[in-house]
Amino acid sequence: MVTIYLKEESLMKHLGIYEFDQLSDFLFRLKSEVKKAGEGRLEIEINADRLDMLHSGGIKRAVDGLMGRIVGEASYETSNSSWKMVIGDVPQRPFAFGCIINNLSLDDESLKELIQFQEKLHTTIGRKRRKVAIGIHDLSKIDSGVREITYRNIPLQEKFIPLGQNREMSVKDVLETLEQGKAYGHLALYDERIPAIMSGDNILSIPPVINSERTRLTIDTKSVFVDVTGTSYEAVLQTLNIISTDLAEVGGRISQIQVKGIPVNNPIEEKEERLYPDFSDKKKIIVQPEHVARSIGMELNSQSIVEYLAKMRVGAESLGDIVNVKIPPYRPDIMTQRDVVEDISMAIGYDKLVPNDVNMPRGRSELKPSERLTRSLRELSIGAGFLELFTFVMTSDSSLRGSYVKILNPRSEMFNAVRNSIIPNLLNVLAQNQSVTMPVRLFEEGFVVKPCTSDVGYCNIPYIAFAIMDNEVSFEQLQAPVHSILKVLGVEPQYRRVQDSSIALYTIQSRTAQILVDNLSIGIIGELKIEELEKFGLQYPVVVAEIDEEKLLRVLKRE
Amino acid sequence: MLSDSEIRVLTILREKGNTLHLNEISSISGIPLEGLQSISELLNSKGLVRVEEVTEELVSLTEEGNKRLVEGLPEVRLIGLGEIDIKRAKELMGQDFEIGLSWAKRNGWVSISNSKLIPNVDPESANNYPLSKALKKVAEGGRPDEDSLKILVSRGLIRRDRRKMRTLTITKSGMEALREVEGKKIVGNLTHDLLVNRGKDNIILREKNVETFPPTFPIARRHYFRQFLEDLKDILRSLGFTEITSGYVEMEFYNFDMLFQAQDHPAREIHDSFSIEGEGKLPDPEIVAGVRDVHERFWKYRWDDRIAKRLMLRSQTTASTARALSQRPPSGSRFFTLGRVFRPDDLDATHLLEFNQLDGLIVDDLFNFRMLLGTLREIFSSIGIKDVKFKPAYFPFTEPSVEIYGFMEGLGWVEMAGAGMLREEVTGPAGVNSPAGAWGMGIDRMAMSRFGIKDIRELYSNKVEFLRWLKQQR
Repeated sequence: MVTIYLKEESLMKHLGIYEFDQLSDFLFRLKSEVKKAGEGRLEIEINADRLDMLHSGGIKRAVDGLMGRIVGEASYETSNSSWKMVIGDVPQRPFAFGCIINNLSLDDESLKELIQFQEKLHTTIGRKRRKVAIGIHDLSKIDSGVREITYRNIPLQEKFIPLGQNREMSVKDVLETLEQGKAYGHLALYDERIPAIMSGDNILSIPPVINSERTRLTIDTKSVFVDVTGTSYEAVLQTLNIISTDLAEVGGRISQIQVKGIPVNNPIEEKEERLYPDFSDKKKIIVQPEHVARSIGMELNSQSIVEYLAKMRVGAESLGDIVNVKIPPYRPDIMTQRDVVEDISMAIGYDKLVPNDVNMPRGRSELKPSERLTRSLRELSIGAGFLELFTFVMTSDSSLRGSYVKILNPRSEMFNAVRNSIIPNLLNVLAQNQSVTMPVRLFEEGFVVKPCTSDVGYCNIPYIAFAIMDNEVSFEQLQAPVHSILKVLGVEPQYRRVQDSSIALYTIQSRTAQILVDNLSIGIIGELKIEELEKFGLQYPVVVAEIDEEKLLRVLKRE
Repeated sequence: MLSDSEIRVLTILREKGNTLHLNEISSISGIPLEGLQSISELLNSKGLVRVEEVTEELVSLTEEGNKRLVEGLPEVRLIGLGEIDIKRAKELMGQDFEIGLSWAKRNGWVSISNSKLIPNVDPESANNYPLSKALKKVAEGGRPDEDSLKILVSRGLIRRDRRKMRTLTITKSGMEALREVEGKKIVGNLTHDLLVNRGKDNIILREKNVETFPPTFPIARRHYFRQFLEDLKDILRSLGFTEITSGYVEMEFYNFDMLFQAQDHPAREIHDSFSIEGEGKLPDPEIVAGVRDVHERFWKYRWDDRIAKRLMLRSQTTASTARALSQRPPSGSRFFTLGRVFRPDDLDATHLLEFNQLDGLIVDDLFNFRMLLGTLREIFSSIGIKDVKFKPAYFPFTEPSVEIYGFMEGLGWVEMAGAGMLREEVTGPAGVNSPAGAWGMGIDRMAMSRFGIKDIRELYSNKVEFLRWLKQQR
């Protein structure tokens, strides 16, 4: 979701809607949510696929369709501006397009909105300007003698007045000292050069970093030159189309620019020359009504499909058995027949699609043996007087012993590893509960992560761990209930003193037993080492046990 | 049932005379007077004793009386001096001489001749002097004859006090009650030994104070949130879904690529998931080729299998759905998965680094979007959310997509789940040709509102007392 802020009064007036609830309802049907943000402003959440709705022009177009006021594809007249844009060799950001929008009437509010529109496109389709960057300039401030804009790499010594500054700076200084320079400079640098939009010798902008002060927009701006540059042909072109069509919805007149030298493919081979924006060459999707009907689950014919799409401002024509859908320039999110199905569903209204009755299969699906064992273990553990815990799987590596999964980009030292045992979770909880009524008897059942031979090299293994903390505790105190739990599950465990200190990681070796069933070690029981008690900040003795449920299940299955 | 002390009081009454003063009972039994007051009231209310208030005169020695008791009365001391010069006697007795002489004269014990006192009686006869005896008797707690008493009171040696006293008299039913407990053992608690070796007829269980609070008993119980998750699983099973699981450590391939999430998608940025060292093994080349193809064709970039192999902690349980899909489930499959997912965040009252998600998948030749909406409504209804509304939405891997809003008391409409029909760009590479619907929801917030919890960390609480005493959901 992308959030935009618009002035309530001007939006409502623009949309011809007078009730907030009605606005809210239409926006809901268009994947959006609106709430009042105070001071007469609205906070509107737009879904990331509907970039055309990041501007009130696009919202108007969509709402018009749903209300049935204006339906069908929006068409926008274009004229030829006689401006040229020449694309140079910019390997790091090879694609650039431009257009001119005339007849704008800006006020403080719409100027603010235009800048918001630009910024929201930067963060979405622009991938924080990495993929696409936009520059919007006051056309009257560009030297119109030559009527030619160039896009090319320039050396870092070149100078201009960056937007918001009052003195000339070198590009190098901009990159090193200005906030935008530091944030975006690295996206553009190539061989000690940086791409620039130029008019003659004047730098209009250095995308994706910053525009020039020279072409700053004001409320007196009537015509703008928009440059869109970036690393993806499609994304750059889609952005240009969205900006121009949305501004056309608020009265702008689109004027095309002759763009020369567009690299069609990457690596650059062919160069093409064309007028942009170009809405004549629309992508078409053939839709089969029968498929649409089956996908949605209702009767639909070619004609009704065309009508529903018209409400979504998508042009389509019925060609007998099929429908030919023309993707409007402002709807690059429509990629396949399935996207068309969604638009038709939205036009119908999801609320009208919910069936009265669904034939849900009833009857319980069977539990896996591992799940049955887990349930039994939990039930028996509670019966044995242990309080159940449910804690985090992520923990601090300082509480883990042996090998474990380490997180490469942790947010804090407290959670920088994945547990390989539940014992540390219990110990951490005990450490925080030393003033409660004793004894404290705890257990937790859950997954630990251990190396294994799966495709990722790690597996979730279900474990169950127990702990008792009291003024005085002993091995037998925990051994007894654990033994009973195992016994009623149907195994008769043996206990063997651990020979290897790597098995008794938290516990005193001479007071730790492996729980053996048919010579398979399924877990351990032991009294905590004094050093470990100290490490966890425990001032009461603790006895712990842990059982590998997978191994337990294995011995249970042998029977 | 009689208490120990009640039995003791009744026994004393029976043995020491049927009526006794409370202070007498107190000195015999050792029970303090205050305790006896309440016992006597209890016995009275049971009709086992009769309580009477009597006003009684008590006599006791004054300070001077005590002195005389030790020294002897002046008249006795006087005749003890034998024949003596008056002047000499005055020297010996001081002020007491006059008193002694006056009373000795009145008793006819002495005569005076030539400034000498001459005893008329043997000093031994003073041993039977009634006033001396009376003084002694009072000192011992007794009451002397009225004549002596009057004289001693007038001499300021004895004080008369009147006070109210309570007497207890054992009644007939008191006698019977006592007989019933006679010869029996009074015990605090039954024991095996008593039941088996001493004969249960010889036991009387002491009365117990059952109105005080007990010591704290730490209860063992299920974890409320864990159980909530188990219950949810059961609901899904009852709707015909089978549980599937996969590991916390996941390959980006299943977490993102198979779900048609472009490799430069903002949700794939490094700060949005936890990275793990190492790389995984991609599944069979056909699926990988299919995934590569749809990414490159629709998202227009060069798909990198090295990115797909990177390891991470899964950020959505939809990764399990992707894995299930890669196994080419047949038409009619209904799966769910519920488990932990991990996303970098700052831990606070509303954010966790790990939480629980529930994902579902239906693969069926006859499935469609309307059925998905109907199924979702059924699922929400089964978990107690009867009012739902559906909002068009966007997810990279579904189309049409929908967000489900549920109405929750006190909260209004709350976004609860996302769902949609899986794109052909997702099912296609997996080799699944049937329509498939999928949905996913976060569980934690729903549980918070169900349990009325304001701090999300309490779902994974470390606080033992909180878990012990949390109100049980009924």
